[in-house]
Amino acid sequence: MKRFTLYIIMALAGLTLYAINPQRQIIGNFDRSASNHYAYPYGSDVDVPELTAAPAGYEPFYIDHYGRHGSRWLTNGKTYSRPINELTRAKEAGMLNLQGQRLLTALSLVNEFSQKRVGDLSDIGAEQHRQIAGRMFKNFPEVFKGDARVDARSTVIIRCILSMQNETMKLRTLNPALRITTDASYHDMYYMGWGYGEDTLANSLRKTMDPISNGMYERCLHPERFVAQLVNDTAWAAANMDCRQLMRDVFDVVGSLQGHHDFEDINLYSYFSSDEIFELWRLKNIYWYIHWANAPQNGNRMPFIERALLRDMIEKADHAVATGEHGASLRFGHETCVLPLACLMELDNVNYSCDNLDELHLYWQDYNTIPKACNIQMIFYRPVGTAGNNANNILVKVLLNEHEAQLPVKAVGGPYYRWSDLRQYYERKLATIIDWNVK
Amino acid sequence: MRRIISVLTLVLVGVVALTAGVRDDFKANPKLSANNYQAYPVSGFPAITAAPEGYEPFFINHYGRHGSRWLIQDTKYTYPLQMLEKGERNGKLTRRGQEVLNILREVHDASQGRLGELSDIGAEQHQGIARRMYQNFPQVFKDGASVVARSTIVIRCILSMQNEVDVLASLNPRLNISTDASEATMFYMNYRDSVARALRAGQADLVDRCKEKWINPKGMLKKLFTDQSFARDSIDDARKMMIYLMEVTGNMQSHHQFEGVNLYDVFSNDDIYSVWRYNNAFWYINSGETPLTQCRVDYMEANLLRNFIEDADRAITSGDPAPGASLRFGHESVVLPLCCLMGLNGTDYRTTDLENLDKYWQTYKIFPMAANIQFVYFRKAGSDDILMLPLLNEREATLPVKTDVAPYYHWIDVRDYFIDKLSRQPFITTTK
Repeated sequence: MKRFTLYIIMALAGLTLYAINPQRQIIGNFDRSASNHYAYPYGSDVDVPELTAAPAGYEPFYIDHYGRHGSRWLTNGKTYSRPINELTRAKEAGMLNLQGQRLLTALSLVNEFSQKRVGDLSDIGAEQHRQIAGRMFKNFPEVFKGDARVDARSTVIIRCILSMQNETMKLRTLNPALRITTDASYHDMYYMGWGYGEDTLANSLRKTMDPISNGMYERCLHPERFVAQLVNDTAWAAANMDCRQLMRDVFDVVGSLQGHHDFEDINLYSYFSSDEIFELWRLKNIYWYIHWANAPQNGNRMPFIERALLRDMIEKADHAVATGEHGASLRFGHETCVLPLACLMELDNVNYSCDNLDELHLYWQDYNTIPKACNIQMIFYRPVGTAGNNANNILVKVLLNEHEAQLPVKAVGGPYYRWSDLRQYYERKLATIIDWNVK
Repeated sequence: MRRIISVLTLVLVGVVALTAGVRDDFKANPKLSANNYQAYPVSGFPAITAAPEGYEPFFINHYGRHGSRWLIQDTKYTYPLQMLEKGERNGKLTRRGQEVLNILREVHDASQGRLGELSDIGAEQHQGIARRMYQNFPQVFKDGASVVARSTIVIRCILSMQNEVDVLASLNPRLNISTDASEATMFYMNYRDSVARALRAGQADLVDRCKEKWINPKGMLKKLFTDQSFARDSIDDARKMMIYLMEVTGNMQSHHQFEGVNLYDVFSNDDIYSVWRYNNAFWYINSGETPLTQCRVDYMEANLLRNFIEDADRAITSGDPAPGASLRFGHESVVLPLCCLMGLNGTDYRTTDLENLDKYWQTYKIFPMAANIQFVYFRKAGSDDILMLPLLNEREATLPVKTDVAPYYHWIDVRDYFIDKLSRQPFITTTK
């Protein structure tokens, strides 16, 4: 009996560990609350996860990759300008207090810098990719030795192309003999980017998620304290300003500042209490979950928008295994692809399915999956000295944002899996029939 | 009198010789007639004249066009294809006509989803240019040197930039390279000048008349169709078909897959010359410094020329030991008016006489794919006299400025010439 109790205690302890405390994680680092604007966490090679050594007798020979562009300017100029318009109206009405005027000044500065830059890759975004490429090269030198072939492709969006450029440039400095080709073409968009291929079928389904997300904001986000600190008259503000939208816009701008060296010295989190920061993140986390992940609310269908991408990864891996040629396939795109792809591939717990959105944050955190420059690297291993064209001998490990991920099949040992097992698992899953109609 | 006659004869001979130059060039290599579709050369670059004693290169100011690409408009592939298909349906194609149709189908298929994109050869052109830039001026690219690269927001230009900077990075990993492609720089990278647009539009009829007068599609139709009255009746616009087919033909040199395909036999030497001549007039009206457009059109690149001057000023006065290079990537529709505005190689030639234009002003010598202007700056320890070597497509070029150190120029003279020239037209807006 004692033993049984002990088991139960251990099991409970395990559960508590699994249900990590995101509130503590966010208070420890407010930047995480920016969700998809969270800068890639290993900005300067600090705290990079340790990797397990290759299995005895094996060496890596091929990398199949999909990565998101690095930190960028916000894509909608209104997010910068709308809060300025709101605060300016208050100012003109004589309702903006000193604190509010300071915020207005800071936002105006950011807005000025953002002119004609919306959506552009930032300086920090460029650095993220150089560092990721540098570590990829360092971790898997066998893949990039000699005249290895690197097939790099990007969506047609400029920040993705420049992200690619920063990675390939870094690789070339490390080995000038690499045979690198780059491309960014509508030709490949059916698997490279959202808004094409099967994703277009999911548009109306995603739209049905909007009321759920918006309703949560209405219900849970209370902007009163936030606005009260900015104005002389809260009654005036309540009657004349869209306070909730103001709070959300300012929070988006504040969270995006971490993407720019120019704003390193500007910290505007102090306009928000830690509870507000947590709540704003929690609501955004729900948005990302129901719109782009394996949520029961979307019928657990959304991961399948990346079917063509996973097929492309499998095809290129097949080709690499069959030819035995070493090298890499690098793809550059968006978090709206990385997230459903990570779900489809069932990396770690990203594919988590959760009915109760009020508890979602305990088990699923967007900042772990879709920071800027987030990436999935499938590393293929073959027995040393072989050409690699026996598919049954190939092992694979998958890195999600450079940490070793758990996969949905039985491991051979540690983070290593038999490619034939994984491939079969994915092939079966890819054959799932999805009805994209909204009932 | 005799003297007058002999002078006249000399002049006439000279004129004949001038046009004969163009015709001979095309006879020797019809690919040159592809004009702005011409592939950038891969060899034959002349050696750079050594700088005067004690001078070392320290900065490069550059604007380059994207490399070889697919045609931008689908209709350039499809229009001649559809016209030939009419012949095919009615059994009116010659054997060569059928072959040409089959080739067009293949090229058109390959172009799907690729319109306007950089080609494989285009990428290689930039790798080569960067490698030679580095080899010619290694001092510019020493450890820690800044390379500030900017592109227009068009993908083929961004990938062209990417191919150049990647090679530079591989040649010296300790360069400090940044890249950008943003609306924020478009006011000088590819300025939309409404004044120039209106001036050009005013001369569109004149250019069209050149087309009607110079281009005769009869010979081409004979090579493609067995029945000339059928061809006459069923082809909506034979001149258009000829121009488009020649563009597709000229652009074969942009792709490894098609560089061996030669369709020039469908055209006579006169055809090749005439279509180019029309294109040449078209580009002159669109970019040249002609009284027909109030000598104003090339000023559309005023912002870009000012950007050249500003970056040079910074490189020279900042005290930066390694200011490196300002690399800009864009379009031939920028390179050409910029050349004219600078007066590079006499491209600021002014005339209203389009009939004789091709004797004095020839675009195929200016803007192949990947065409580029490099201003290379040299300095000497203990001297403030900065020298500048202008290169057009990696060949030493001339400017309308006096110099005692040719092919080098005293930068201060060139700078004064540019500032003076820029001030001769009303202020060009830099509104972002």
